[in-house]
Amino acid sequence: MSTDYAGDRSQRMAREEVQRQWSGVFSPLRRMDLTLLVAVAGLVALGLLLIYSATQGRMASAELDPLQYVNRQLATGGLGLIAMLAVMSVDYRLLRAWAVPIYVATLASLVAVLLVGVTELGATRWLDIAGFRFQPSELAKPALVLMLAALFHERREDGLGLRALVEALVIAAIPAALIIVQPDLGTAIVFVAITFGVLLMARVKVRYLIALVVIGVTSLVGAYQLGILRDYQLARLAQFVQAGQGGDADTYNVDQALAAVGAGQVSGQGLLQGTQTQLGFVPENHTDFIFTVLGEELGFLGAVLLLGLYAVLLWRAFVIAAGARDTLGTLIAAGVAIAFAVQMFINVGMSVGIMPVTGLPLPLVSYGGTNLIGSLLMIGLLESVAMRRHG
Amino acid sequence: MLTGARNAADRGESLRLRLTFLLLLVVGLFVLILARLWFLQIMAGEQFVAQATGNAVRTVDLEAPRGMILDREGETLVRNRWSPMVAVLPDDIGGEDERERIYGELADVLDMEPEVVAQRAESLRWGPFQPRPVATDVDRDVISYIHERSGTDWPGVHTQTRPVREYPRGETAAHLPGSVNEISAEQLEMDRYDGYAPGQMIGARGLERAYEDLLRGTRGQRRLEVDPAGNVVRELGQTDPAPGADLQLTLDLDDQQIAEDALDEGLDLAREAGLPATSGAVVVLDPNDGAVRALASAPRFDAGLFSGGISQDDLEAIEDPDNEAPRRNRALEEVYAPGSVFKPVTSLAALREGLITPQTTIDCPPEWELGDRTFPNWTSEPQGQLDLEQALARSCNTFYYELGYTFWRSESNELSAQDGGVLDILRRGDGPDEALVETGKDLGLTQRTGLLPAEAAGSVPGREWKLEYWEATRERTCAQAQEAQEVGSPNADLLRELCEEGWRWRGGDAVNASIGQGDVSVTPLQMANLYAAIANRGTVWEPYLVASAEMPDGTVQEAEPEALHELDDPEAHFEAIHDGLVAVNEGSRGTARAVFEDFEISVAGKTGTAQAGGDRENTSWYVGYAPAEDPEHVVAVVIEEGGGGSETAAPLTRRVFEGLFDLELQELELGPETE
Repeated sequence: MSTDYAGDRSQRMAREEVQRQWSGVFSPLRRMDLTLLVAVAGLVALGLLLIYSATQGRMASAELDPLQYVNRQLATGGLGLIAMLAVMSVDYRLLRAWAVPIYVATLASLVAVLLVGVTELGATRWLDIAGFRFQPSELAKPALVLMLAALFHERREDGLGLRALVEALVIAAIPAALIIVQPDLGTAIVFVAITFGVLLMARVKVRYLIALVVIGVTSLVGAYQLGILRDYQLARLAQFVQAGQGGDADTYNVDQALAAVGAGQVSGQGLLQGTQTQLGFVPENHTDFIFTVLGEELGFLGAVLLLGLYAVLLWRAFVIAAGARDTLGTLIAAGVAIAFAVQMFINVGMSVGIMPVTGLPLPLVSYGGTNLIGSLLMIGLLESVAMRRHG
Repeated sequence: MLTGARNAADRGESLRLRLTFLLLLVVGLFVLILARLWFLQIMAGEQFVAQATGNAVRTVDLEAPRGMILDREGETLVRNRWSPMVAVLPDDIGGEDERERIYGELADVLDMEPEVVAQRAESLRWGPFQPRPVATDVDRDVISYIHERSGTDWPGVHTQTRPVREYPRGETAAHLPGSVNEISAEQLEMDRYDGYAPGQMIGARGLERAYEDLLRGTRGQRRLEVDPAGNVVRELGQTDPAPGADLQLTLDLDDQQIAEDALDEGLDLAREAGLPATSGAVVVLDPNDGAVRALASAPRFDAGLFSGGISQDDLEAIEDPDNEAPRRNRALEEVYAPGSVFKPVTSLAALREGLITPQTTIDCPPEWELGDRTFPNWTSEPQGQLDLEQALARSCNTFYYELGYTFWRSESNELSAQDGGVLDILRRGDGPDEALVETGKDLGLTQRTGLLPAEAAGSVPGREWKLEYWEATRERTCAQAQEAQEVGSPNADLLRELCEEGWRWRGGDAVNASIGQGDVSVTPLQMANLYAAIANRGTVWEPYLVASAEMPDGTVQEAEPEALHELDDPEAHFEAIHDGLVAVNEGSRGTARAVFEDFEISVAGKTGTAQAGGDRENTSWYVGYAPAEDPEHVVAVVIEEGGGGSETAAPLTRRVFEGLFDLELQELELGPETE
């Protein structure tokens, strides 16, 4: 400090100002996590392949375009890509200001689902808007992540007292309740996971977290006792326990899924060669049960490939969370990571009989527009955090 | 500033700790899934492959036509006909109401009861995708009517053809092929019917049953891939059915016709003469290898009744005992007392035991006494001293009584020379060898030849036989004795003796057996085979009916004639008996001389007139071979309630020989009663 040269100093400051301006423009791009994007592209591509395998035979025999599902998924993938790039290009710190409006809009759409939604297979999860059907609960996931992260960022200086905790729980509980009513137990569980992940990373006291887990388990048991869960949800939970023993009509889906995955053995029956897949023994195998296509036709090796791509995705998410420039970034990245991990686990676990059948898509892979767009939005959030971290 | 830095450092520490915790949770999820996949795909994979294959692949059996049955010249005895059939696959019909409607309408068209249609269509005995036969041999018009509607009004109703058995020769040799049935649920359970499927046809009797393995062929299979609704997605492949092997018989349908015609004619003639002549059989064998040339049984039935399945009424009619059970093949399923045609057995036994030589003479009085019982010859005229040849020719009973009694006496001496109680010795099976029983066995009596199923074995009784019989019937006999005593019946003493002592083989039993009476029983086939062994001087052939089997690939399996026994008796013994058999027909006092006197071929044979018991007319027998010095055919003829052997069976045999040797047929007339 004592050896400043005035003449040099003003010159240097001007030079640094120019550098700062340029680096302000270019540094985010430099910090973009390419590995993450490659993993995401790999998952989407694998998804397209599996969707093709699951649908082409059915479409061809109905004399329809065998590529119809693939094309639609590609189209929504394009939309999702644009959405992802848009989110990436915005500094996530600016998004904090949008957290509340987005959250409120999400709640509104969830209410709208209950009022005017489309019912399919006994669940009301969709909104029809101008001929496009979309599933607000999928978009509610990034919205919740953002909202919770924003909340804890806001309260970071107040100390993380009970107040912040209760606020967070209320924020999570409202959309979760709206989703349970649809009913969509799977997505609700993902909400719980996201909330838990954000609470954990927000450094909420461990004793609070333990208390929460205890209360959660107790209330689940209570819900069971009071019959709040729907009959079919109970039946599915029960069937999941019995699956593999065969016979019962309730366990048909799971048995067929297990047969498909098991029949894949090490290297699979070959793409388009799995009888369980091609003959339609596994229901919903382009959406919720898409993992069975992978398991049957590409075998254990194919499953390892899929899990490997997810592992890369999650690894990058953790790295981004750890390296984020502030708590907000860490919380967003951790929330996204836990959302992907739990949804993947619930979905794959359902196809291999270790989780109940809850009707949850495999993120980035299953056919379904809103899921793909919602997932890509979350990737966009991750990248946004990654791109704004410190050098 | 310092505390702030430490706070920041703490914060960083805490963040890393929490992130690590979260990471571990996520790693745990991955480990769970990988472990589960390892189990599903690598450890239990094969089981799931089987399950997936079972889901998607259905096999439909394709029926194989059974092999044909031809005679030695290639004439068809049994062949297949493609029968138009209506079958239903209920899975294709849909709901209950729809099924009920279709079964009702179908029943109307087929002239059946709707319940029967429903029952057959819904039968659980068939695999999935296998249409269940509802009606066979359906009229062409009805078939086309149904065919027109099967696509629209009547889904799941199929018209198809199925191979069914056809018997172009009608009554000729009707007993031999037997029949085919749908395999029963009980049979499907048995190990020996491994590989049979429900609804498959299986040989139930006769050749169809005996040669099932050759005739059945190999079913084909169509492998279909199906979706969860059971719709066929595509055909995965087909193995064509291989038809069964064609059997070529040793049977000559011309000879069979000759035998049947002669039998029918003989029966008619006997009936005209006032004899009941209820039924009969003719067996023709080749004495040189045991090949069966004809097996006739009367009464007969039309095998055509079985074409495409017999009706219950028809089946009952041909099995009705009041109708003389025409379905019974009397050539081998029935046993008769042989009477005098058995005498060569006693003769051989006596020669074998050294009791007599061909030159030994024995007196032939009209009567022969044993204790207080009298056993008569058939004629009251004393015949004087006879050698074996004369005894056979004249069918002298008393000659054979003497032989039978002598056997008995020496065997009884042998038995009483053994230590211990006689009953115990017999129960241990340590009794003496009995000449008549052993000789009978050596000549193929008391055992089934194995020619066809349902064959009877017959018996040549002796000490052990009688003990077994007594033990088997003792309870009943003793109960009867008890009852007789209570009511003071005159039979009481006899029954009590039977109850207590009935196991004893008495002299009288042996004397009766020596002339083929008492409890001696034989089938006509056994008798023909026995005479064949005399004709060929000592080889007891295993009679056979199937000469060869032609496999669907054109290869032919030839049957090798097999000997049941090679007898080591000296040729002179057979010669002596043979001379006696020739003398029956050619000797001055031969019992069949009148019948064969002017016959241009020399015949060796023996008449038999067996008491049938009760008030039934005697069983008439003749068994013989010709030409006597170079035998080509053995013929055994039995006529139930046909009177004397020389009276009906002998002329009938002559008629059969006339046919077999292509001679001019003489008028058939009954012979004199000479026994």
